[in-house]
Amino acid sequence: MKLSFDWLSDFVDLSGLTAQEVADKLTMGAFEVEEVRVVGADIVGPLVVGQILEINPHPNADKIRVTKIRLAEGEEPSEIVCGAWNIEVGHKIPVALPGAKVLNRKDGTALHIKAGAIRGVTSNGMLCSPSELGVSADGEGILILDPKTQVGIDAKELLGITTDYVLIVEPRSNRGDALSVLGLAREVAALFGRPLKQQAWLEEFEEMQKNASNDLPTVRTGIECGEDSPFFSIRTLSGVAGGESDGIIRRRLDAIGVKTVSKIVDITNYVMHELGQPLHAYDLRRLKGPVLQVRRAKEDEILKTIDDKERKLSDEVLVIADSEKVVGVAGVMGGKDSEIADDSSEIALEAASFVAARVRRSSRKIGLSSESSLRFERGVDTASVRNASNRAAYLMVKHCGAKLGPLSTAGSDNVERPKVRIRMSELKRLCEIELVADAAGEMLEPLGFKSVPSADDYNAGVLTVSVPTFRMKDVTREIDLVEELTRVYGYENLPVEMPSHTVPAQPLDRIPYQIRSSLAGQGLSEAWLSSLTSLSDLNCLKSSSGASNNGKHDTAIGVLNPLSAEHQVLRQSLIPGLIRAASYNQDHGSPSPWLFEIGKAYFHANKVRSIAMQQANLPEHKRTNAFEEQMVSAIIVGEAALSNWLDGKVTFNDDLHSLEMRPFFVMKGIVETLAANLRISPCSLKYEADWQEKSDSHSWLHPGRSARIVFAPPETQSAAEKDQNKKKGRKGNPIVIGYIGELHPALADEFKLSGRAAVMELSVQSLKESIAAVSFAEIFVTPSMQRDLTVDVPREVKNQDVQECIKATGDETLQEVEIVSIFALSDKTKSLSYRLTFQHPSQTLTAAAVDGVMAKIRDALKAKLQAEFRL
Amino acid sequence: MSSTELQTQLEEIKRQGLDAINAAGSSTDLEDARVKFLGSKSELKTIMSGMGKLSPDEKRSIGPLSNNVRQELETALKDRQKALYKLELDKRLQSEKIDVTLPGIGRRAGHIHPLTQMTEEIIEILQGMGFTVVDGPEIETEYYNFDALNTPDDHPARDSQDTFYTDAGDKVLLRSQTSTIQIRAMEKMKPPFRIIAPGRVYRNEEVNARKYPLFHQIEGLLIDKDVTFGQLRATLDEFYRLLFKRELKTRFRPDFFPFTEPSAELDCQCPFCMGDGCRTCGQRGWLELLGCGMVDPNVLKAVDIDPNVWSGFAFGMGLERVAMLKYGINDIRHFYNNDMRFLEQF
Repeated sequence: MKLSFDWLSDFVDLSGLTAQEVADKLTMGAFEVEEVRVVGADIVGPLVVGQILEINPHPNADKIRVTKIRLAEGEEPSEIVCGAWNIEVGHKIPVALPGAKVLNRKDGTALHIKAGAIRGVTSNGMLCSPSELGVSADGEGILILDPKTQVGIDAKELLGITTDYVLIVEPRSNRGDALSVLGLAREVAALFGRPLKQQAWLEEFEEMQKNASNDLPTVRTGIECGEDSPFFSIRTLSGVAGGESDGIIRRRLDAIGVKTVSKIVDITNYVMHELGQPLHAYDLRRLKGPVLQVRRAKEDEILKTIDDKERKLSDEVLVIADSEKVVGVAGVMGGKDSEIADDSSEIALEAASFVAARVRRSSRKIGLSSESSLRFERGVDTASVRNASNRAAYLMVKHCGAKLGPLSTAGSDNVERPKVRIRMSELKRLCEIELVADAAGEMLEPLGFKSVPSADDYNAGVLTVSVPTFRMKDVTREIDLVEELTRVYGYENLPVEMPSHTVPAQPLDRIPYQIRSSLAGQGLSEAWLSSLTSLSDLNCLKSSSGASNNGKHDTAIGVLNPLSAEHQVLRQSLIPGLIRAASYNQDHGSPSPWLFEIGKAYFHANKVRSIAMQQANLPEHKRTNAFEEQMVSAIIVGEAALSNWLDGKVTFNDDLHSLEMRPFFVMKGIVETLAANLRISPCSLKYEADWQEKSDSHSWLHPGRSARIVFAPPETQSAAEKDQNKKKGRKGNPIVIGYIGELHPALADEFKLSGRAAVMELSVQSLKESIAAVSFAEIFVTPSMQRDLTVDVPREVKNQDVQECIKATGDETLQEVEIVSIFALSDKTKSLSYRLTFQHPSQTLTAAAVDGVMAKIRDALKAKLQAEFRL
Repeated sequence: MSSTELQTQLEEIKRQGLDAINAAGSSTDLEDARVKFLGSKSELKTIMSGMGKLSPDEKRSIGPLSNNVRQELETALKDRQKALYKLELDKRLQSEKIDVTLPGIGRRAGHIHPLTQMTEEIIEILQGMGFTVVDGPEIETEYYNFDALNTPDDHPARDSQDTFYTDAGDKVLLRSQTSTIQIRAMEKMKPPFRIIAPGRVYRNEEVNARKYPLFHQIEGLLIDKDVTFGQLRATLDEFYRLLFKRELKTRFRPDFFPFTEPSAELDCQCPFCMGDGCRTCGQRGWLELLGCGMVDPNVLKAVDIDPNVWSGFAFGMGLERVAMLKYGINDIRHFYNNDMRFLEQF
């Protein structure tokens, strides 16, 4: 909210404080002040009327002269150097004295007046021109005042120079009481330890009430729904003179940027900003008596609000209604028909308390919020309603010549002040502030808290206070008083000391970090993608058979109140986002993006039976039907070579060796390196070309160029691995780690991705479960032997089949099988060449022994895979 | 053959041999010379293998001589080998020149997302202060997101205009703050403990340069005996000094959160203008870094921790906000566009 410094000074003594000092204190003790704005000319006194007694030449300069000025009757004149030539002896002029701040006549910036020598002559101030005081742009000569002006009086007041400062204060949801000058004045008073000023108008108003007129019509008031409005009041006033506001009301409303409308409306706004209580004035002629009532609107009732819009009301909306129709939306805005007009002379002034949640619902329902609803939504003090009504009535009598009529009320504004106690020891324990209860009570007083002294409390170091009604909502417990005292004491004044170490940190899960390092080290950059996605992106990965009626898969989690169709469901795969990111990059100067993400996929818990059962055991308020799985996924398009100027020429380009296969095998290499970096043994990963749900759930993959990756450790595990598996409760069951493949061309087209892309998606949890414990195996010192084996097989035989057959047949001396080349023999057959490495742990192998193994391997290949051997 | 003749012949072999060896201009020439003068079919070898037929006297004179010749030739051969190797190497090195300014072979570097780097940096600092990283679900119940965090029933944050609700159960939402993890951690752990919880949160907000419907927070929580508000300030000051690697003034001013009391906002001097006011800080000279406070007794009670015995503080910072500050990024959408030209800068 906007706070006028001048207005604030009505409630608390600000002498000796600048607006900036008050702003800083508020920021550090209560509410942040975002900015301090100057309203009007930024002129600060002392600025007085002086009279010229003498004008003498300057001993060292031609263009300036030395004057003698009388600044107060009976005082010695001051010497002031002046460069203007329109002055004569006897003239009365405004004089800025040392310490004053005026405007620089050249550019309007601040000019601070100090006593000092000008070319060797001491000058004790400055004679001011109109532009230096901001009263006109004329900068040439000194402002010559009326000869009858009294010497020594405040020239600022004389010239009507007003300066105000507006503090832009950040409001807070739990502190509706502070959305007013008075509310902030309490804070300022508490923070500076100054008392709040007595309000003189209260006594004056007592007098006015004695003379209140009884011949004015009374508007009876009623509340139909007490749970929405505890108190409702209408005061009638007559003989109200309209017209525009002037003087202090206009100036202050202008300063805080409130549009002035008419005297009456301006006064209601003025009081709202001053005391925080929204008010509304009706033209009494337009109300149909006899009762003005607070009630819920009926379905299909319509009200044209002051902003000229027709509002359709409903049972959710709280309204004010006369005997015929709705005349206003309670706490939000009045109706157009009964608004104050230029000729309104009899008015009904509404002051009421409406419940915050009801006003919020009304406001949302009709899609309208106002300064009034903003305050009601944050809570208005029922016990202060009457005072605000009186204040407005007082101002209407004062400024509009109104006659006071009767006040009619419904409900009760009698609110009991609750009591809260605080142990001084608690303040010490949590904030290290040592205070005696008396001192604490005094600190809280300006905020409206009253000490309730008792001997027991005194002896126990306890303070009991009664809480002001306007703070009843946010101060209910001891801890609330701890906070109040701490901020008045000053957060800045607390002793600052590091907490002592009593708990060691547990080690971090390093796996995601290792995955990132591996993939980044292989040329992929990390993306962070949105987990909220569109239905079409959610469904693009699957064939349509799995979708239920609404187009959403049963396992997907939808947002009930989505921001847009783009964000209506939680993703089940990171792949669509990665394709989009890759496509975006191709459109933005990066033709071959390589991206990965570690992120979550989200499923209904019914996807995983064990999760669903776990959830079912939780109490209802802790239960969700959701399951989140961390995935690592990647997409690569094109090459990530730094440069290809030295690349060899491709020697083969047949159907077994074509460049377009590269994306798949590059991605496979990435996965294999990743696995190795994570200590997942490469020989324990199987790449399955066919799996059960392939056509349903994985239609995002090229059917001929994709694989399911399964962790299936070979039987010959080390003891350590077996031990590890046992510990993890793994019974040697294969673990599905994820999927890899070339992106389905249809999907690439759909996302406008050019070139062949390869993708992979792995479960981080499955990767973790596949990691082997590190244990050292002795390095063999015996010589090794290598044999080459070229196998001719039918085309459909896979490398993995051959390798597995070789390994299964070879004895313990067969250490390694490596494929070295592939040839196409015919349409139906191909030739695969392997290099086999043999080594015995402790003996030197003989050629004969190795030959024997090789022969067995050949036989097995012949038998199992119809292999032939030409060499 | 007489021994004199043999002597002459050996001298001749030596002269010719040395000439041939020293004249060899390449390793091939040298090998030819070796075969010719020292090979198994060379004259020298023939003489030496015919030694047995000589008289003892002849043996005495021819024997050492032939050995001598062999040695001299072998030495010369070795010397010449070395000289030739050096000559040939020099020649090779002379001819082998590359343009060292051509690019290297290999893959371009991959880059780690700035938000990951920021998270790791933050975790590293806080781990050093004894905080353990914990995790929690993003799909949450209203209980963990609001009730247990002392949020009043009519609090506007509960409204569907602020928070996303899902179809994964009754009152199941996308968490709007990582403070949910506080509750989950406190349910499981016995004090004293210190935890940090990085994670994704969701708010129903239109996308613009400052806002995105999802973003990330890092939540910290410390529960112990005699934990004070001043210790919170000290911890955060130290944290930011380590994070920004320079002394930035901070200020600690009152604020309000349902789950902490007293609550505070920690501002730091704007690192771009050092407090003079600039566009980044909206001329304020200060930037909001995080919200924090002493854990509200109601929150402790909700997880069965006795607030009269234990106290604690909590803080939560926006990851994007800190990263934007640290790297001078002006638009939050950069983080989610995943433009390589952006990613490659980190």
